[in-house]
Amino acid sequence: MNTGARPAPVVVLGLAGAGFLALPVVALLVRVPWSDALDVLGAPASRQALGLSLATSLAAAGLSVTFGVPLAWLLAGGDGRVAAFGRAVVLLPIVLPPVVGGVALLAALGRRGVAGSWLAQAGVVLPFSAAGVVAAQVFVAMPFLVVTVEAALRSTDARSSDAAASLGAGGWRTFRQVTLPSVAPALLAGVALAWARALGEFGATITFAGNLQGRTQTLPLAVYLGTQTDPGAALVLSALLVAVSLVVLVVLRSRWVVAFRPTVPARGPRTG
Amino acid sequence: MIRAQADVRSVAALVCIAAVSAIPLVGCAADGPGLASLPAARAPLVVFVAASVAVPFEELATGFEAGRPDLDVQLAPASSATLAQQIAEGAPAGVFASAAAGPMGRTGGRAVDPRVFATDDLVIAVPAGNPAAVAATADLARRELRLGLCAVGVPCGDYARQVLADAGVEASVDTDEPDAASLLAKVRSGDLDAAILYRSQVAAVAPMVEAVEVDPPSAVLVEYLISPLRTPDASPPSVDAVAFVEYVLGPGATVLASAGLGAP
Repeated sequence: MNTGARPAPVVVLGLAGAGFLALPVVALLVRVPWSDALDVLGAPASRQALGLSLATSLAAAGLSVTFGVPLAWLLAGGDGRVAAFGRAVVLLPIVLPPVVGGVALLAALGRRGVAGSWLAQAGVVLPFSAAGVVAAQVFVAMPFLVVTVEAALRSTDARSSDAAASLGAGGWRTFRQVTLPSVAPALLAGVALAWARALGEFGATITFAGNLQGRTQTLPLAVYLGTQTDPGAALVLSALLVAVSLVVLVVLRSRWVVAFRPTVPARGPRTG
Repeated sequence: MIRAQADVRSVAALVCIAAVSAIPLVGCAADGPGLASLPAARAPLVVFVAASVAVPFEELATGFEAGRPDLDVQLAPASSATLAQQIAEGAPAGVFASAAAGPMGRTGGRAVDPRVFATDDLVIAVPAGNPAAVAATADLARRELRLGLCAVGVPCGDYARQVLADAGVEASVDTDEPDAASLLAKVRSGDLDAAILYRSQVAAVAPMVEAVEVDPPSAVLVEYLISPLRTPDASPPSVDAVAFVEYVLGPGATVLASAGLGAP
């Protein structure tokens, strides 16, 4: 990228922005009582919260892919009002405050909810269960995956899939062998975004799934409750969340950059 | 090009709005000499109040404002534990009304004169119709029952655990909620079958939520405390803060009584 001189205001404002984003994280790390860190991380409550956070957020990412990729495909193929409406519905959870998402989930899937009362009759009660945590996470996280993958699908070169189709490949085969590989970087970025969002989920989770150590208390909930009883432990757990998030960012960085780079001239995917 | 200019203008407008809306916040945070330089603006009185008594405090705030047309009383309801922590961290609150003595002692020395302003006791809150047929404290050990408590460290949570210990009941808890208000909401919606909550709080939302007496009776007595707060820079409490506390302890008693709270 061209690194020619930038106007002074750009430099000043840009650096101020970077400082504003970095300072809280640095301040957090400065305050962490590192001498207690091992004790806090070894405590059953912390280990359970970490385990639950990893399990539920990975499950949420998996479900987001399972339902989100087909949804993105549907939306990318549509141009009419239905698709526009569908896109708005998908975007809504991104702009909704998560606590509103939690209230909405209770209204839908709570024991007396629109669909929840049927589920309850079938013996499935999502609130106050780990499955409820996953439901809350999927609600807030899947839209990120859908938006990312749909944008990539819309910008793929239609000629490749047309060519595949003209060679006799069916819709499913074309999608699997031509379209999907061409959006793989975006899919990976979408999965990372969705997973990160699920890992950090707080508002919808505590509203819909409640908070119980070992069952629904994920790391963000443990941090929030910890600020009331044990601020030191809350800081250690916050640092743990920062560390986990950083690891994901670093691991995915190369892929990430690829995903958002302006499209490289498309080369036909190799088959065989 | 015209389009680009329009964009720049709308961004500038947004920045202006953001800057203007930040002024009251800055005023709050300064709460002293900086504020005095703003002409004819009386600092709003920020009252940090335990979530369980937020409803009567709305009425108290309105009553207090009635004689002071240029004063704005702003309520910030949350768990007393959270509020105490925010006060200790320098939050611009003028008054703290706590649901227990513990949080009142954790304000970093800013609570100058805590006094009991109301009492309450605990009941088992159940949704209308008591669908799970909860009759006594011992029922809270039933595993199929969806039971919520406030979290440990939150006054209503600590009180609830005392009630359970007094009754010798090992409860099967399904959620530890961050404050009394969110716990009540989940009973009200029917997502919880039972919760241990303040009697006054349950009375305020009857008949959507019903109270089942704690049985055997508990010795737990809930005492609400209120205190004016030193400013974050350790100056004495404001005149308005002191006056509000006197109002709650004096004429406010009728409001508190009609909310189902006991006299100190």
